[in-house]
Amino acid sequence: MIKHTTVLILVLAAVLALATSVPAQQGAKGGGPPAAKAPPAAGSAQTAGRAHTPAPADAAAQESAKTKAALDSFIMPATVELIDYPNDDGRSLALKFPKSPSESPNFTYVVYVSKSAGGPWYRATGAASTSGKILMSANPADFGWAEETSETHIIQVELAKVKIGEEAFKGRDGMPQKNLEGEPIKKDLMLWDKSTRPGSTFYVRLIVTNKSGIERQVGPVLSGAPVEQWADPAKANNFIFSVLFCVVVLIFIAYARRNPNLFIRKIPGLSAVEEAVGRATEMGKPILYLNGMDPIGSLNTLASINILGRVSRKVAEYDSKLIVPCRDPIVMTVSQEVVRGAYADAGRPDAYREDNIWYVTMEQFAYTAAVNGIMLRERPAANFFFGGYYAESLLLTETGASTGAIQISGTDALTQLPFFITTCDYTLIGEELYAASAYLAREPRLLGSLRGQDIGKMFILVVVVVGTVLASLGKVWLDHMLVTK
Amino acid sequence: MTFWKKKFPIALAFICGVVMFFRFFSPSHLADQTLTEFSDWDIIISAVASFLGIFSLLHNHYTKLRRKVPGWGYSIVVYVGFTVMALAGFLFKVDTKANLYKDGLVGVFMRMTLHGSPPPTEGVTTIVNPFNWIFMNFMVSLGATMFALLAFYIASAAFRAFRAKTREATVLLIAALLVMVGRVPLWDFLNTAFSPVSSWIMNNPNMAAQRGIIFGIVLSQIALSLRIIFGIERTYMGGGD
Repeated sequence: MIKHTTVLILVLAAVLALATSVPAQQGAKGGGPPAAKAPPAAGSAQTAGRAHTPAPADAAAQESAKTKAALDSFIMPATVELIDYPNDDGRSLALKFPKSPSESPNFTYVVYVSKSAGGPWYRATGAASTSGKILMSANPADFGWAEETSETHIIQVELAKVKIGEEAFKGRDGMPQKNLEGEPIKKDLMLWDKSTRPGSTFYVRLIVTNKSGIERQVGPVLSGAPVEQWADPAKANNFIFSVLFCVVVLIFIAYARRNPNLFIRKIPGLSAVEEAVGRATEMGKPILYLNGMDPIGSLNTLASINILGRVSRKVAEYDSKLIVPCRDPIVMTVSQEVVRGAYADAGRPDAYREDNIWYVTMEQFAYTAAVNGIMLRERPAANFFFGGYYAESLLLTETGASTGAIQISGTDALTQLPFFITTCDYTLIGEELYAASAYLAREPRLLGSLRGQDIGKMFILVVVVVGTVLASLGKVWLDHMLVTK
Repeated sequence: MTFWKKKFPIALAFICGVVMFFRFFSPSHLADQTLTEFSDWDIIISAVASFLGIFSLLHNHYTKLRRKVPGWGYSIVVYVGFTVMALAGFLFKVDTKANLYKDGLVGVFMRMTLHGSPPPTEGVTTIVNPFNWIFMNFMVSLGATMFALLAFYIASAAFRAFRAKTREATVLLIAALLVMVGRVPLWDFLNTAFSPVSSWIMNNPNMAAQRGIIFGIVLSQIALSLRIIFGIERTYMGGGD
């Protein structure tokens, strides 16, 4: 008897599981009227398991009927459109539909996608709650600020992220690979495979579900093809400002060529460079120069290397010793080239020592320990810290301070600025790091770009003030103009 | 020579700079591929340059050993460390599934000493890769030690910074105290009382100053990029101006 009951339970569970596992299939057949779905397999198993306890089963059935009724009473959006998602690489579609009056946290919209009208259907990444996050107004860069955007939903269907299954990850030998625990490594199979291109047709279904997982299709099955865009109008404001700023800077560079005596405010930290180099020469001690922790691709490192060129020229003129331990091999190579050039320009190519600019390690704290060791052993009279720094900044500069060296630093890392200011004699804050090369070179063309920057800052200042006033008066058009992705 | 040393790099910087500028404003797949292509080249160049770095490091320490400069013993440590790590990396597979018999004594030693002694299953057992083990037990621990020292350095730096010698330093001291009292979880009643003050200082005067600095940094970065793209700033290429 028990055996038969168990079999019956299993059969019931299997039937109910089958009935709920592929909700998309029914809707896909015709895209006809919304079809209410049965609860999912988990709920079904519970129902089957309650054969011996009639009272809770009745309660559960009542609850299930209640939630189903709630879903049945859900007022469907009047229209559902499938559109190409704007301003993308042609790998997304979007479902656009007006808000339903029945929306509440109890309901969730889910999207299923297929490459054919008959399925199989795959759930698109994530489920969108019916809250404001999927309103068009949540993405004003793409959909603007009009009133209707807060009344219309837009669900982005990222086709390239739709997972359709898994397969074993195979190595070059064709054998399935395993991870460190010896478990097989799997890789995702995606709906957007190598043969898929923008313009391919996809079929999409919008489903509304409740907390019990009961699903109901919204509108018919829709088809559409994503289109690849070449330009992103949502970034137009960014583009216009960038171009205008470039033009202003280039104009001032041209202006500086004709009028070389541009006034640039004094930066004490840079004025002290010569003093620091002179002090080191008098003391007969070396000068330590660090390019920061970032690779050559970072602008702060490039700025630092530019300063290195100017500093090493002064070092060559003073016939002092410059040591540059590097964290990145490319930075090391470029630094060697820059210092060699500076020594040659100073007329002292023979004084250049390549061994003084060397690679230490890429490990952050190993590098810190090595540099601290250099400071304590060689006792440089001047330490220069320019570029990007992280947690090691204080360890470096505090050690340098303990050796009595004159320390000049410059960084655009906001979190490290307090440490530099506390422990160094002079600190270049943010933009001063980028202005340093031009300041030290005193070349009109470089100084011209600094004047262009000042105009840019003035413009931003005006925009901030005007924007604040307008926003205070309830006028937000300027704020809207500046929104970006 | 001038062409390869000056003109060609400037032309290359110009083309790359302009391409990457327009790439930012295009959502197309081609723009994405361009970025991937440039990133791949970056990785390739970095990989090649790492050999230059290794050569530089070893040469530098060889010179120290040869000249017997003070502290030359550390150079021996560099050579030993480099050799051990290189051997560990080259001789052992990253995959921890290793054949006990194939790995011989070293494998058995590693299994016994580093990973306990799990019972061998049909001649195959899991051993820890020595490269990973050294990294995890030496580099990570030493790095964590260095990082932990930061707490003491901050204490000594804070002592210097917060001495109320001037009016500005006094303001800094008061602000710092308010922020600390509002954030350091010492007593709940203090936290509750000072948390809004602390948040206000961080979110208003502090944030305003930070944003001002960020504006300057971003504009400076654009200007520096322009100077490099148009070949106005050439210091990074060596040879001065």
